[in-house]
Amino acid sequence: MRDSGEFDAFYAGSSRRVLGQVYAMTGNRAEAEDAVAEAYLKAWNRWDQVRDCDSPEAWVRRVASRTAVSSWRKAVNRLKAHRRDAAETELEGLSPDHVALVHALRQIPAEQRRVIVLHHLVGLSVGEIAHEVGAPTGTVKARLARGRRAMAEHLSENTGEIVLGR
Amino acid sequence: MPENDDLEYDLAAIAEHGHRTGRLEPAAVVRAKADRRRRRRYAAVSVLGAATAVALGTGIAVARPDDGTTPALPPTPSTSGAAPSAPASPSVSAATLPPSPPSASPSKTKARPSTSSARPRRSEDNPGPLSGERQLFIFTLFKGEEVPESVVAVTDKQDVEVTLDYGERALFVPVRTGPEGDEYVIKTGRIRSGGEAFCWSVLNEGTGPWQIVIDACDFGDPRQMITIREAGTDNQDRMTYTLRNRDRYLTYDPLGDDGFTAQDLGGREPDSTYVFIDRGASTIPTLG
Repeated sequence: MRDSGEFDAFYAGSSRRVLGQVYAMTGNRAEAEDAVAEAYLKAWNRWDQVRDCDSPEAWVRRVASRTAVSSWRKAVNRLKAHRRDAAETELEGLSPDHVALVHALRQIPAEQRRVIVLHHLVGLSVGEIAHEVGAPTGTVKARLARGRRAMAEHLSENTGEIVLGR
Repeated sequence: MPENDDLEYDLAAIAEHGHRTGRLEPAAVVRAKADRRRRRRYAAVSVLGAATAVALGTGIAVARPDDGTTPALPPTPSTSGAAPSAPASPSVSAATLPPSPPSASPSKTKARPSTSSARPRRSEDNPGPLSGERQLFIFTLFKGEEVPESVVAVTDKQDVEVTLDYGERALFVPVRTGPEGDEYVIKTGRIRSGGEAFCWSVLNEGTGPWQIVIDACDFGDPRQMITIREAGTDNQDRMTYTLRNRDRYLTYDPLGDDGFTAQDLGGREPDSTYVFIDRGASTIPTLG
């Protein structure tokens, strides 16, 4: 018997944090919302297994990020997003630098965005990211380096102000 | 260069923005939606099972003779996370159903067809699962434990996936590509076109997990070469195997979202292994 109280506590304690992380990965709030909702829905359907994972939150984040980048889902979400929000109104409340960063994130491949967020926002090590995304550590390092470089190029093209390291 | 610290700060600000402004439904609503989806899926699976029973009861041939055409590929109830929101249609005609997905039941009880373990036999008189003469179910294990209600089968999209479909779509015949060695093509046991079986083929799709589909058999196509190696016995004393295409293991993580895919594990041993369940002599026509 699945414990709804336990799931609800997990949801309350993690869902907004995961939403923020997936939003940073996608640069699109509507996509992030839908992906996170889908991930928690799957988590409840498999709660007996997910609750015993090393990190249920990492499981949900992994499912949400994959959902967000899968192509058919993306297409559907773009339509939904178009209806629900003009893309730029989502960015209201962010500083111009952060808006530029979101734009730069949107320009780089999803897998690079994902490892950048996992490393620089979630704070995972390269090894932990490799485990979470199912890729060799060398691939993770390459994605990190390429992603940072590409973002830096996009940012310098747009503002010439923010320069990212390495 | 400040830059990584700044990036962390900036990403945190963006995440905080999403955290603050994003809309999420209450947990109870998420659970209710999940439960509705689950009920719909199980209802569809039950209809499939019932329809199959009717089909069998009214004498529709399970192993009909090859008529030289590609069988219509009816929806297959997938257990993978790859397509969780696409339940099989309950309106499938009984006449087009696969012969026996009896374990596609909502109940937790394992209702698998009676099967025999496919431990390799050493006698020439008793061809083993890799003799090319036997058709097999391929059950999945994860970290040594059998994944319940999961069998590899061909879906209606002609993908090779982990499903609930214990029917003719789940019958495969590994055939060695040379006189010796551990490289095989894996042929479809019953699905054919023009009398020819199909073979598994691993699609090269960049750096992520690679999908497995069926394609016309070509013993020279490296995408179809599957290396099959013994990986010890499981807790039921059945021989388990790893499956690999070049440097990519064929994997299925029941908690993951990728489904049955080929993945580069970077030198790690795979968590996924497989058991071959003998389902009788292969009916694939042979030359000569």
